[in-house]
Amino acid sequence: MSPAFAVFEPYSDAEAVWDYLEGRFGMARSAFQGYRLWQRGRGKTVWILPEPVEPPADLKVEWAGLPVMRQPLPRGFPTNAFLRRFGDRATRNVFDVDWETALGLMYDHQIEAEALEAKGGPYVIRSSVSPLGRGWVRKGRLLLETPKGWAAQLLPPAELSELSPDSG
Amino acid sequence: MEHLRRYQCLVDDLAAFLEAAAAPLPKVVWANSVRTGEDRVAEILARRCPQARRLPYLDGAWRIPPGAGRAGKWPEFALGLIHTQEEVSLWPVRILDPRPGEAVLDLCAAPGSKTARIVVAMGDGGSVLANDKKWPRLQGIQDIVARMGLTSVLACHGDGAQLPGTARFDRVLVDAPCTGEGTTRKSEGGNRAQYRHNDHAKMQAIQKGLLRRAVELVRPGGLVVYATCTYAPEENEGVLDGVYPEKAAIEPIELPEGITVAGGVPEWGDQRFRPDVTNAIRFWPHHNDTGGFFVARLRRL
Ligand SMILES: C[S@@+](CC[C@H](N)C(=O)[O-])C[C@H]1O[C@@H](n2cnc3c(N)ncnc32)[C@H](O)[C@@H]1O
Repeated sequence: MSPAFAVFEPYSDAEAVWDYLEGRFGMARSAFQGYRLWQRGRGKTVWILPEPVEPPADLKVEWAGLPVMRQPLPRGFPTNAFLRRFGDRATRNVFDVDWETALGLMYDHQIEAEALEAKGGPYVIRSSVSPLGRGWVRKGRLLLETPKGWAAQLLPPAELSELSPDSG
Repeated sequence: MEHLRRYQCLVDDLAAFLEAAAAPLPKVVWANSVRTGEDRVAEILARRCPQARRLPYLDGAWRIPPGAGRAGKWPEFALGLIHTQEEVSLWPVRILDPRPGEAVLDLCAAPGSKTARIVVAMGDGGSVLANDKKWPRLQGIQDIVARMGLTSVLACHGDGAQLPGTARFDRVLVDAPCTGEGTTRKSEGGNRAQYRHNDHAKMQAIQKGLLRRAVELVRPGGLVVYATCTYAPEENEGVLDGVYPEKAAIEPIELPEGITVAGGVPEWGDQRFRPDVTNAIRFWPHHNDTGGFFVARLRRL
């Protein structure tokens, strides 16, 4: 008897996702050894879970692991959460910014960067403290996609006793 | 705090207890060691909150005095490098002692702080099934998991007492719904309400159902940790008393030097409990400057 709910199954197009991560960001396939990709029923989200975890089939699992993409390739692109966790492994299409710039991106979403030759995206934006997430280049500006309401959840910049981790 | 006077005969120093129960609560910041090193977090704290003090007995955790620094609003929190909790909430997970590669069930998981602490203790390698009865509250767990970038949580919702499945878990945490008497120090509105005996009895029925199912779902030799943030013996020893004494033994809990707790009580009112309830522990606010908690560790036979 098949269960009354969609179960998680290994993602059938996993190779395409690994190839994309390698092609776009230079994230080596070997860097993801020990992980597998999953999908629930016909759901569009691709999830990553450590091996040998298998979502149980005898109860309804709502979500499992970290979302990698919210829709399949070729339209899909990596989630912020995935890039913050695994962005360290990227070797291409990366912007490494200093902490001051990172804060600018976190509070204001975007920085103007003249002579930015890059276009489109997605990019990984990283600081010395942590990967920040997913970026795009629009009209010569670098944009960090921040979750809705993020800036409002942060302490006002004036209240951050800021000494740069890059300088100290 | 008048309603807490009913614990007069349980507590060593009623006046100190009542005073501590009304005092503001320090917070803890802990490092998400899946994403960053503890030394990096120490640097962040030195910059943002010089009053922070490293806790020697809890991994990667620092105590922040009340009102000193709103860590939940720091950029490093938004980036998922740290999490904040109250100190006493770290003990149930430490007592659960999850190991990399294990299968853990968190039966009452929302909003997910203990789930996250379990995952980090396991180095994000293993699996944690996070269940909560209330479906909208799973979103809170997802928010923490996504922010911290954790890959090994699976979420489901339903009455934990009815959770389907077999005895496949190495460890189960039952962080049970309770009357919350130990939360009076929380600034964001802990529970300062007066409870009637009836409420404790109602909670006990729910708690027993949860603990019973936890014992059924853990493999032989595995561990169940039962925890509440309330003092009432009805919701603690009284729950342990009625649940599978032949299937699960309450084990002694080893704590580092410097942490003071009281043992479970063998009787309350006219009720005598199973003898091993004295192995459970109660955190009183005035002993370690924390909130109140009760923790029992059961070994499946
Ligand atoms: C003390 S809170 C858990 C806190 C959580 N472990 C944490 O550390 O963030 C208790 C939780 O139990 C849930 N709950 C209540 N009744 C339940 C039941 N019958 N089965 C499962 N969860 C239940 C509540 O929705 C609530 O989220």
